[in-house]
Amino acid sequence: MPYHLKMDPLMNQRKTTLFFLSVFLYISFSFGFRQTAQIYQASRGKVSFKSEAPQELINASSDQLAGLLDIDKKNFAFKIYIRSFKGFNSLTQEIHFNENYMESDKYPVASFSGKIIEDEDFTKDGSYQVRAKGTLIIHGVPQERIIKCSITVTDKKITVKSNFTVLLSDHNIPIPKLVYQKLANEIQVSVNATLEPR
Amino acid sequence: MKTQLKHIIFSFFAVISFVLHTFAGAEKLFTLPPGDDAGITRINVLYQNKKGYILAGTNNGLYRFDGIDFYRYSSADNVPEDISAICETPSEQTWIGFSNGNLGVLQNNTVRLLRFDEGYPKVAITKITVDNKGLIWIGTAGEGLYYYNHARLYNLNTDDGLSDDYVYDITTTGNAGIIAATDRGLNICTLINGKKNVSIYSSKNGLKDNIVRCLYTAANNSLWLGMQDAGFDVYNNKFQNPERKMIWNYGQVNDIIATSFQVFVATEDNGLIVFDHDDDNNIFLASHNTSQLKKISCLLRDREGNIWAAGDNLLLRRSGCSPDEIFHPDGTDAPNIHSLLCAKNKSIWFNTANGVEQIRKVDGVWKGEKFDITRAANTEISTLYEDKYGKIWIGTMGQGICVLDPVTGKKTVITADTLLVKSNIISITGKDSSIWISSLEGTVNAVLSGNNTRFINYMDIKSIGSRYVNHIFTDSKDRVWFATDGKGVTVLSNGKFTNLLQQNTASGNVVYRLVEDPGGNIWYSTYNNGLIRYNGSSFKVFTQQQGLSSMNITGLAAAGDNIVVFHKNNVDLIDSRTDRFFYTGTEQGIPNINADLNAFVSDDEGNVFFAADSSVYKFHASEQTIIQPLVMIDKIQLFLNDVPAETGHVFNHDENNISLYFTGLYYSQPEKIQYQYKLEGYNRDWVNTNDRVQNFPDLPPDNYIFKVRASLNKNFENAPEAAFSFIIAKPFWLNAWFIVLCIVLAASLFYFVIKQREKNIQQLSKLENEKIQSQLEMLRSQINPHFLFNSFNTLISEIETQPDMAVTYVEHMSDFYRSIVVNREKNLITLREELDILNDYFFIQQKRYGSALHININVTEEHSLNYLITPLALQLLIENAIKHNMVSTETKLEIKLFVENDNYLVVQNNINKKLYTETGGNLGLQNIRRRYEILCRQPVIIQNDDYFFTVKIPLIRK
Repeated sequence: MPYHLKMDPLMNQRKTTLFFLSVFLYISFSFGFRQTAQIYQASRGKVSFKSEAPQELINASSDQLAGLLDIDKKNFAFKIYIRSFKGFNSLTQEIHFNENYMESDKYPVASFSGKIIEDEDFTKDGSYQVRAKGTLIIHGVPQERIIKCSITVTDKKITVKSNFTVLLSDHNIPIPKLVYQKLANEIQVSVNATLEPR
Repeated sequence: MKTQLKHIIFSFFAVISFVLHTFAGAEKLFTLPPGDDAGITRINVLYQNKKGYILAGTNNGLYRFDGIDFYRYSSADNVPEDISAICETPSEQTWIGFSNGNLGVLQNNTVRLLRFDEGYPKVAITKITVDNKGLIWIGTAGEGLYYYNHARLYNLNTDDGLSDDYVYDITTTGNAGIIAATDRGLNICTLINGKKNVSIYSSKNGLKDNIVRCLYTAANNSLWLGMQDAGFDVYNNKFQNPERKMIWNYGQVNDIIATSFQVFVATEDNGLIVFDHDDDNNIFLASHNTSQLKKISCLLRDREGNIWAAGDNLLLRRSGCSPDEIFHPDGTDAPNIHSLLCAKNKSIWFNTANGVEQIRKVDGVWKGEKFDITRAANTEISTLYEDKYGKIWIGTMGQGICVLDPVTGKKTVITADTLLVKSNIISITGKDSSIWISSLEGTVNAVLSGNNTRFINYMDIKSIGSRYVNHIFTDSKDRVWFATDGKGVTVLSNGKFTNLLQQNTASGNVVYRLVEDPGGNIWYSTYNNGLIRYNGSSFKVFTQQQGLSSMNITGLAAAGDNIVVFHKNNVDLIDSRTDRFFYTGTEQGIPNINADLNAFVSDDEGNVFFAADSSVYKFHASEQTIIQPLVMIDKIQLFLNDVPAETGHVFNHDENNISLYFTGLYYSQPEKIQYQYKLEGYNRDWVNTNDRVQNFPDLPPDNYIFKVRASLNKNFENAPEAAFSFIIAKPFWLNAWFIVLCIVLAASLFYFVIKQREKNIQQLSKLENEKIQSQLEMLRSQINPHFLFNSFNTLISEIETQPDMAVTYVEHMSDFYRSIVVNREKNLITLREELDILNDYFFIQQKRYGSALHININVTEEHSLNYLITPLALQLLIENAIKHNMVSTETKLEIKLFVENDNYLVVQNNINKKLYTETGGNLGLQNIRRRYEILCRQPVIIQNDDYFFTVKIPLIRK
């Protein structure tokens, strides 16, 4: 059993929150002093996901993705509240999603934070294919991931687009045998966020 | 046999001038063909896969090398050409790294790209390796390390603690994890529960140069590393590194490989440099520096022990098993060396112009010390022996034995035994206190005890079997073996001599030299009888048939598990455990070996020493692992076109022109490989071939197994085999189900025909029956007295009233009866004939009934001629009509006869039923019906309403 399963869920949540706080604080501080517009912020990014199980297609999205990107150090941190996902097929589906699978009260936030591997200059306008290396925390379980994304810089605006998959088994999200036909292990996630200088 | 012995002794004195052999003899250079754009193809990386092939990654794609030819693998679309890394994964996939950061895989002889969700690195892949846990590690030139786990790529770079993101090389460590060489020292990386751990070892910790370009983990888990400026270094398995000062003048090190006693260093500008090292990793001066290749980018040690070095388009093979010249005389007047001794202190003794010389390795360098014995014994030295006190016994030709004390330099000629005075010594050997001396004068056993030496002379032929003994050998069980010149081998065990006179050929029983392997078997070389192994009860003879390269054996030595057989300019090694052979020759740097009996010795470290001219050579013969060539089937062709067939493939019956390509891999001497193949189901016996392709142009359908085996000699026993089984399917018409189907069909057809015939016969007989019945009926009715009576009455009245008509009447009657007689046998007659009969009959009846009977025949000429009807049917129907109806002027009988729809003849009459009907009523009608049932499918239709009685008779077309 991985070590994180033995942890107290509340502790885990606190840890996640703490981690976030520290990342935010770090980025804030490192820029607070410089006063140059090196930090970009997204207040309303869109995240949607899709689960194509044999019996049921679950499709939901949220436009409450928040994130920061330091284009100098190439650090980034993004988070989203699980409860903010809307557009389920039915209310039952939404309740199942929040209470049975994601346990949204215990783990209210999903996050991805880390550093971009490529050393591209995002102060210049252009389109960049980069890989973001970081820790993806969903359901309180951290997983190191490299996620491909395309970054477009136009007139001091940065658009981040990415498609990736999340394995429920990676994040210890249980699928009851009965609903196995209703929920695929592989969840396709797409992200689209616009960041502006803070 | 004495002449034989003399011949050997004379060879001691023969002075032959030899050309000095250089090390270049052990190397061979191969050139990679230029690429499509005619540019130079540069080798970036070498790799030997598990199958045995050497793969070369170049700037022009992936090549395979079989020891002779290069074969270029094709690439799928969008695959880059510049290959920078090759590695076989635990699932036996060959991964390819490219200089643009892409990763590929070799599939079905084609290089394709691998796809990862995480994308490719954007910088060159420098190395791919698999750690001891099966994790694949990828080094990059600028993005640190990647590892592949559970179908995902993970990154490990400076953010995770790596000292630098530019990784030159990766090697696995004895424990889990890897060591990565970077621009800023070494990084020992492990994954514990998915957590990355990096510990850095750099110049702060004592690394001589922070830029480490290459790594090599040796078999004993020592870590060898090559650096940018500081040359190379080695750490033992506890990561300890002895203090050593190395002055390095060879520049940048690109690759490094170490064996148990040598280290090969590839440099950017100074070629391949070979150093010796000992078990404690003490490195000695460079023993070799190749001049053939200046820039070497990568190295490979193949499974046979050959070292491969690649630079640009050149590939150099250096034999892993080649002798080193450890002594070369200063002057040109040095005599040939014909006696060698390996002393207990690892010094080597040999004869010089005026005595003996001892050479010893001091700090990796051989240093010599000469002893002049001319005053004691001024003659040719034939043999040298070191006794248990460290004194050197020098056997001479004609001057007996001189004993030299190397410490004091004192020389003593043995005179205690009269036989040895001025004797001609052939061999001195021994063990502990017992020394055996063979001379032309006889055999002497000298037993040392303190300062006294006791001599026992064996002059008696009955004991040893021969007065001439070439070699005496005391084995591990203290048995003494005598190699006699003509009487085979004699063994002295427990004071008893036993002669093993097992060879009895025309060549005589000359035995030259005896050795013992670690298993206790005695091996001995003979004159023209090959090499013989005696295990205490039986003999095994090794000749060319068993793999010996030549029957002319000049020397024999044991080195570890290997038996070393010397020939004139090549050496065979035999693994005493497997009887497998390994061959070395001039390509491995073997010089022209002196053939003298005592010029071959071995030490207890597996080294064998021999002499060529006046030089002494060391040959690390126990290091060589003796393996057989690999053999594999590479490619299948159908009608000379490649087909991707796996073993067990099923070909169609017309896909029967099959070519099988096979390769034997033996990189040391690829030209030595011989093949035997057998197509089971086609060839009964193995067929010898030197081709690497076999074509079978017209194979009949069957199950086949193609087997091929490769050997380096004529001995294919236990040779490795490769097999490809395939099936040529039978055409469908030869399949069992088809044949069964055909038989069933034929049988049912036959059955049907028989049945039909039977039915026909039955019908015919039925018809015959009916016919007879009808005739009977007909005759009975026609000879019916009423008909005759009525007819005659009519005739009488006719005669009375119209005599002329009476004649006509009788004529019609006569015609009618004749028709009956003529047609009664027939089944069918034409409608015309029937109508004629009807005409005759009607004429007779008309005469009787006059206008009360009327017939209307409406049948065309065409119908009457072309259609058939059963005879007398119409007559019967008319007769019935008359019989059943009242025929009078009030109730006229109107009969209509016409053809309906071309298939029925309709006979219709109106009904005026008689109150009383004559007996024998419906027989005629039934008869007609039955006849038609037999004759045709259409039935006779009878319709009977209140006004008309209608009978429809089927018309049968002619």
